[in-house]
Amino acid sequence: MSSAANGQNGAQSVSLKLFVTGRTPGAMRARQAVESLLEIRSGEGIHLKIVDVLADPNAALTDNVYATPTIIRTGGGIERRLIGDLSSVEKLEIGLLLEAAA
Amino acid sequence: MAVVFCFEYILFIFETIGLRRWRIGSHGTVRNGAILGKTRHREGHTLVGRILVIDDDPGVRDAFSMALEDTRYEVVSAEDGQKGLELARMYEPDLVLLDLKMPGMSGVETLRHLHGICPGVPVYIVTAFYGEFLEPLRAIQDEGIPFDLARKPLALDEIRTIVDSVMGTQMVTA
Repeated sequence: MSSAANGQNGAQSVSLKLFVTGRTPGAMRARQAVESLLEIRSGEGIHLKIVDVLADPNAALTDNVYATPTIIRTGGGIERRLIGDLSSVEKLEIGLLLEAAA
Repeated sequence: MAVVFCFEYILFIFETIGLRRWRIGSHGTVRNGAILGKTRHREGHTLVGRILVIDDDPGVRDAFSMALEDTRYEVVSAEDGQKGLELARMYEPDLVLLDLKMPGMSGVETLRHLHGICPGVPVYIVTAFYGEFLEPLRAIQDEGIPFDLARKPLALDEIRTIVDSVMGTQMVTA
């Protein structure tokens, strides 16, 4: 495993991909919550990529995303997908099983 | 007496031909085979939301109805934008699932009008995720009209997941 794929604690790093539609209120709330989550867990080397499906629909097809907003967590042997109201940091942590990755 | 008899007879006909899916609540009224009113039930379940589907493809409309039957959602559907707007005024939906490419009024134009009729109601544009399909939506976004996207075609469980995620205002594992 390359060092780039490792977090600071040596575990396989977690990647998050957030798929949103432009700058709708739901998209903005999701962006803010995910960015807050990363700030809280800044020492864990979590990578975030935000995809605007209007700008890059192929990315949604590649990851088999069928609706926005969706967030996909990979890494640490876990894949989780959440769809819907992504505005709660606490629910994101639980839903994405991030505590298990810490 | 004759009025009561006629009403019961009409209900019997609906029951017989399978159109009477809804039990009438205390303040409900029958319209187009559905129930409008304060109390809505179906097979003993209190209905928690109305979903308006606007799509010119009858197969798509049927898929949404099939996916959401035996759930706590009421589905009403329209085959074009104009009729969809009429149903939006009539039914005050909690969620709209809107086709983008339709004959007559386009999905984008329908979305503009919907925003005026029921602002704040979540709208999902259901379309293929191809750049040329999405191009008109980039313009409407600049007008400040919110919407989300759903990919066409959708499997039945995907339809239910989307509706649950919106109506429950919670995250759902996809």
